[in-house]
This record gives sequence, C-alpha cells and structure tokens, in this order.
Amino acid sequence: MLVTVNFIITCLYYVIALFFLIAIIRVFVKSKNPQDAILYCLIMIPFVLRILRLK
Amino acid sequence: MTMFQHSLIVLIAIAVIFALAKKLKVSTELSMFAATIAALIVHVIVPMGEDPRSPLPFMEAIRHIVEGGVTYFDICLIFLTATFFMALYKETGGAAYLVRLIVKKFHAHKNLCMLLLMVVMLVPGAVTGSGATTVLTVGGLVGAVLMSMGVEENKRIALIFILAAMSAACPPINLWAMIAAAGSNMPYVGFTIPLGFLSIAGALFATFYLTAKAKMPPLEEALKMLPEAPQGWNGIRVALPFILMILLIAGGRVIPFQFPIIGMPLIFMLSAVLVLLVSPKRVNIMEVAMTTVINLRGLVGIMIVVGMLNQIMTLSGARGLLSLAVVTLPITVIFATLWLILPVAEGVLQYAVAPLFGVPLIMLFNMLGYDPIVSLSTWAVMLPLGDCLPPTAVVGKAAVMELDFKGNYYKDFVKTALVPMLFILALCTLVMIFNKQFAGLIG
Amino acid sequence: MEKKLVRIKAAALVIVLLATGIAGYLFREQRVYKEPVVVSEQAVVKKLSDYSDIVKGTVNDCNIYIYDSGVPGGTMMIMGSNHPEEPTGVMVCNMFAENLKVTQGKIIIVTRVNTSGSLTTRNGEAYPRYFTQKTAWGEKKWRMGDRIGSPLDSWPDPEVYIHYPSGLNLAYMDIRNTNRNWPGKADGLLTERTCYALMEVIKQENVDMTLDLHEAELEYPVENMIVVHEKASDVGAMVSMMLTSQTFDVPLSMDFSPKALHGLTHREVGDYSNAASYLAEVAEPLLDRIRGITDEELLMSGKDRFVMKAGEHGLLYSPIDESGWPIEKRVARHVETARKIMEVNGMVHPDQVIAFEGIPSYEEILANGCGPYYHDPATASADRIFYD
Repeated sequence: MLVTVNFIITCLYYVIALFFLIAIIRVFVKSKNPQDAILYCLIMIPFVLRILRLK
Repeated sequence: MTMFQHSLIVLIAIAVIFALAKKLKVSTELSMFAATIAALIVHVIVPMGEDPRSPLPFMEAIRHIVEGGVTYFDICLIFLTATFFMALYKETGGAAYLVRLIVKKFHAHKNLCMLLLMVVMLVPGAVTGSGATTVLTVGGLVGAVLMSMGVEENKRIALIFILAAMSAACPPINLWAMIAAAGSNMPYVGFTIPLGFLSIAGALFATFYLTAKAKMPPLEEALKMLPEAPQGWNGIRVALPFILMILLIAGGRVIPFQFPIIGMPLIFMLSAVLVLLVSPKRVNIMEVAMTTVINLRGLVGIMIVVGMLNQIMTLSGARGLLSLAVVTLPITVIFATLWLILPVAEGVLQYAVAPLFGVPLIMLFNMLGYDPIVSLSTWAVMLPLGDCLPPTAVVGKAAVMELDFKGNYYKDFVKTALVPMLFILALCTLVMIFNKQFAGLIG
Repeated sequence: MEKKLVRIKAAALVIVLLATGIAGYLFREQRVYKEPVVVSEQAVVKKLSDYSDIVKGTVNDCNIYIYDSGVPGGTMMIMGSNHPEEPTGVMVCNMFAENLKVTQGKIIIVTRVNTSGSLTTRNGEAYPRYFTQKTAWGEKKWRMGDRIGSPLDSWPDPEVYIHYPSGLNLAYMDIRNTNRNWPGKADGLLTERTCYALMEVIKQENVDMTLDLHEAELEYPVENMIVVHEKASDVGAMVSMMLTSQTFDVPLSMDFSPKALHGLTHREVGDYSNAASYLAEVAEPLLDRIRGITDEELLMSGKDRFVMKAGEHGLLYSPIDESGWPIEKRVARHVETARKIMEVNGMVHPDQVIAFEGIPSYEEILANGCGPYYHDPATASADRIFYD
C-alpha cells in the first residue's frame, strides 16, 4: 500500500516538474530581456533532464 | 607548471571574467556562468601539472557543465513550489486577511506580538532547513505585520533576513550540519541544544534590537496601511492551507514509518491546491506560476549556475585548492577568521560549502581533540548569515522580493543587519573557541 | 530590435538544448551500460528478487553470485558497491565472481549492492562516468557511480530521513544511501526495500559473516580499518593484528561499530541476523574534498598533490606519498582482508570453515595488477556471462 502511494507521489513530482517547465517556457517566449531569456534557458536544463528521466 | 599553479590560474580566471562581465553590466547569474565557461576553457588549455592526467573529451566537458546545473534541482523545486503556494495565497487575498487578523488581535501587546512573529518565522526554516523557504512562505506576511507595527523598512528587511537565517540554523533540521555530519560519518545526534541555543539567542537579539524603537501607530491607522481582503474569507478558510501543510510535515515526523514520503515540494503544491479550493476568488493558475518563475529567476538561476561553477571548480582542482587553503591555516587563524570565511563562502557556494569546508574542518577539529558537535553547530549557525552576501545572496534576494524592498541593498539592508549579524558571529566564535567547556556545560 | 531579441533567444535555446542533448545522451549511455561478469564454473547466479519480491522489476534487483562447495562449513557474503563512488568494492567482487572455486563452505558475492547509484554520477563532484582496467584482452570497464541511489529511481527525498527502525534523524539524501538503510523496510522507498531484501539473502542463506567493502577519504578517521560488530570482535582483532604485522605496509586497524550510528551494515546486519558483520575501508584520495584535478587517473592511481600537501600538515589519517594509493594496492588489501577473515573465523569457529582456490594473493595482485584476473566476455561461453 505504502509502496503504491509512494509511486503515485513520484508520478506527481514529474507532473510538478512539467508544470513549472511549461511556465518557464512561456515566460521565456514572452521575455523581452535577452539576459533573462538566456537565464530561463539555463533554468530549463534540470527540468528537461528530469522529465525525460535522463538525470 | 604544477597542479597548484594550474588550479590557481583557474581561480584567477573565474574572478577576472566574473568582474569583467559585471563591469559590462551582465547580470550576476550570467556573469557567473561566463566565469564557469572561462574556468573550463582555462582548465583544458593550461598544462595540468607534473602528473599524468586523463583526457577530457569535448562531450564530457559539456556533460560536466550540465551535470553541475542539476546539483540543486531539488532545492530549486522547493523554492518554486513554496513561492507558488504563497503567491496563490496572496493573489486570492488570503494573505491580506491573515495579516489584518494578526494586527487586530495583537496590536495592544507589542513584545508578545514580536515573540510570536519570531516563532512564526523560525518554524518553517527549522523544519525544512531552508531560510529561503521561510522568507518565501511567511516572510511577506510577517513583513506586512511589522510594517503595520511601525517597524521601519530597513529594519524590517534586516529582521526578516536574520530570522530566516536563524530559522535555517534552528534545529531539528540544519542542512549544513546534516550534510557535514553525513560527510564525516557522524550521526546527526546531539546538535539540538547547541544549534537551538545559538540560533534562538541570535533570533531574540535581532528581534528586540531591531524593533526596540518601533512606535506602533493606532490600530485604525495600522489597518489602513494594509490591503483589504476580498469578501468571503474567514478564519477557518485562511488557516486551512497552513493546517494541511503542518499536518503533512508533522505526519512524516510523528508516524514516519506509516506515512508516505511526500517531500516539501508536494506539500507546498497540495497546500496550494487547498488555497484554490477554499478561496472565494478565482485566479489563473498558469499566470501565477509564470509570475513565480519571473520573481524567482534570479534565485533559481543562481542556484543552477553555482552548481555548474562548483562542478568545474572541482574538475579543475580549484575547489580543492580553496578547501586546502582553509584547513592548512594555523588553528588560531581559523578561530579568528572563520566568522568571516564561512559567511563569504556561503555567499559563493551555498550548501556546497558544507562538504567543502565543513567536512575537512570537522576532521581537523576532531584530530585536534575539540568537540566536533559543538564546533560544527557554531559553523552551521554562522553559515546562513552569508545568504545575504553576493554573488548568490539567495535569502537576501528573496527578502527583497517578498517585502518589495525599494532601498539600497548594501547601504540600507545589509548595513542595518550588521549589528545582529556580528552579535551572532561573535557568539558563535566564542562558543567555538570554548567548545569543550560548552560541551561540558550542556552534558 | 525585436528581430535581434528573437535571434538571441533562438540561439540561446539551440545552444542550451544541444548541450542538454549531449549531456543527456551521455547520462543515458551510462544508465544503460551493462557490466559483463564472466563467472567461474562453480557459480550459481540468482536475483535479489528470488529472496524477496519487493525489489522485482527495479534496477536494484541485482545478481547474487553463489559459490557452494557442497561441503559443510561456513557461509560468507561479500558486498561491493554499497557506495558506487568507491570502485574497489565492485572490482574485488568481480575478481571473486570470475575466479572463485570454493572447496568447503559457501561464498556469496553481491557485486552491486546499490545498482541505482552506479547508474549515475554524483552531481557537483566532477567524477568520470567510467573507470577501466587494462587486461591482456582489452579494457574492462565499470560504471563510476554516485555515493547514493539515483533520484530517477527514488524521488522525492523526505525533508529529513528518519531511519527505520531506530528513529535516528539523518540527512535527507541518506534515504538513498544503502549504507544508511539497513536492516531495511519492506514497504519503504527503493533503498530501504533493497536493504530489506539483502537481509533476506543473509537470513535465507544462513550467512555466518558479511564483509562490506568501502573506500574512504584520507581526511576521514575510519581509514584503512575494519569496523566490526561486537560479535566479530575476536576475529576482527586477530585479522587486524595479523595483516598489519605480516602482510600490509600500511597498518589495518580495527574499531567497533558504534551503537548510536544506525543504518550501517556493521551495526544492523549484526543486530538483526545471525551473521557477524565486518566493514573494510581503504584509502581513496579521489574522495577527499581537498583533492586537486578530478579525473579517472586520480581515481585509479590515487595520486594527488593537494592531498599529499594536507598530509604534510598532519591532516590525514592515512599516509600518502608520490606513489599514491594505486587501485592494485586497494584491491589487494580488500582481497587479503576477506581471505584473512575467513581463515581466522575458521580457526575460532571450526564449524564455519571456508576453503577456496583461484583468488590471487596480496603479493600477486601487487606484482601483476588486477587485469590478469578478469576474463574476456567475447571469448567466454554465453552461459557464463552475467550482467550487472
């Protein structure tokens, strides 16, 4: 039972990561400041790697 | 060329490129990223010393940069979710209602109110180990109450910062002590009294020093300064998200073996969902998430870039050189300078400072026959004070953002915080020097 | 202006995605890389899930290599890669798995206790992804892992890890540290379940003693040492004395497992099973925070000028000089420690005698290196090849 609940929690974490990645991408697209835009790109890195289950 | 010279050149390259980029008006985060790339290039092209070395293919060099960027991912997720939760709370008007409620109830009892606010500030950091979480969850609320109590802006932000730093230092969870203890295979046992004594003493001093002269305006005037809450909020609705948050955290402590592992980010997100359910006002969730990302770009960005820098410094030996430089100082110099070295290092490296300096220092103190628990506790209380220092200034930046601070960061904010900071650093240094006597005192 | 902004954004996105793609490819390559083990003829290979199905289908369902002579005697379990950033453990276990012929008693080898941790590198530590050993047939390659399990297999961590069943508070990431999760928890996270399943191996196979192989930074006091459960104090003391006086150039000291420090093999295996538990440490300069350039060369040669400098200041618990701590010496010490524990234990407990052949001596490993003791999977028969 606890194992199943913990598995569901893990899945929810991927959903949370995806939710924030979408927010970061939208902010990046709307950004008018080039420096901020570059920073948003860097911020995307760990989110992309985790969602794709690479790191 | 020796490896010492190699690593020193890498360090110099980092400093030069960072300074140059800052001069060219590049943001702190991107300046540090430029310094990281420069460090990697210098590491690859400058001879690596007298011993044979493995090749570093191009793809592996890229891997190191990217891998470093993942180091603090979990902490970034805590920042984002905590801020998202509180942003929803503010956006729906819950925060405004709660602040007005506190001011109405406690207006007549200033000292009691200050003590209560201190406890409210200490709890989130004490249970999560993160000063930024404290600021991002309750910092804005407490700041608003302090304003209505007549505490001036500079003192307000200074107090929020120091209480956040002390909350991170406060037991049961002090991440620096835990990471350093884990790195030196020491059980995280026996830290409650030294950490509690130092952090609560620091918090009490800061609270009463910074609010002593505050003149409370009459209740009506105080309430006028605060934003109105939307219709429909009441005491129960406003408390429910926090009750859920406390229950989820407490569940993991009270019945840890029957309770699932939820983790802070999901706890904040579940609390955020409850805000949406109880709020009488509808908000656009994606808009709030995007505002959260925009507000946190500096904080999350710096954590990612610091991770990259730390990895390249480790790869090139620059991190080892810094660490070696500290632990080979004579012990009297260590006693005399740690109060400065630790906060400055925290400003640069964040939690990475715990394994970098904490572990070698524990080994050193252990070897010299000092009490490792008391000594580590003193460092672990000094370290979070560096969270207002550049280049990362994570908690300082969070406080500026939450309080919408308009003054000068150094001249107004850091300068005002200096006296309580020095008090805490002096107290910790004294306890560190007399660590054996202190250990005897607390049994 | 608008066009320039779009160009900058597009360029930044392409560069970052490219870098993420390259790194992602390398991370994936390491995660799916399988280490071939050419087992000796006597081996019977089971899976961890044969003992407890709570790890079935997970990356931690590792191979359990069993060498049973069929002659009554003792049973020893040797564990490697409890901390995958300490490569000697897996190298020693592979050496045993590929050459062992037990003539009395039984030996069980677990090469990768924390497989999950071996599938990822440690963020911020700049480790190489692999380490290799030259052999007559080419290079044998292993994954260089993290100290703890990968978050891809166990996410999230709690804000504080509370050890089961002691209730001891530990740093949050230690919930993925297999050497902080013993005796395990059947319904816990992956690492807790892995330790639980390994305890089942110990119980079901009637293991008399376990040896957990580790490496440590030279700044760390538990260095070049065996840490023993109080059950094993007599054997541990004799092993330490004999190896120090007869074999090793650097002494092997002995310490008792602290009773307040929970979750480690040397404490919990002894407390929760009939087995006597031992943990062996050897110096690995790559783990020191004061180390210089981090690469495979340092990992394998154990030679570092910064660590030597710290030694000059009297800051180390192990000697180090120009010759470093080469991998042959580290492997040889652990192999000899294992052999000596079995030998002395057989003298102290005559019903637990274990006799075996095929494993090189301390001197042979120092003279020949490790390479000659690993076999070529390309020329081995398929039924003898297993993958970790």
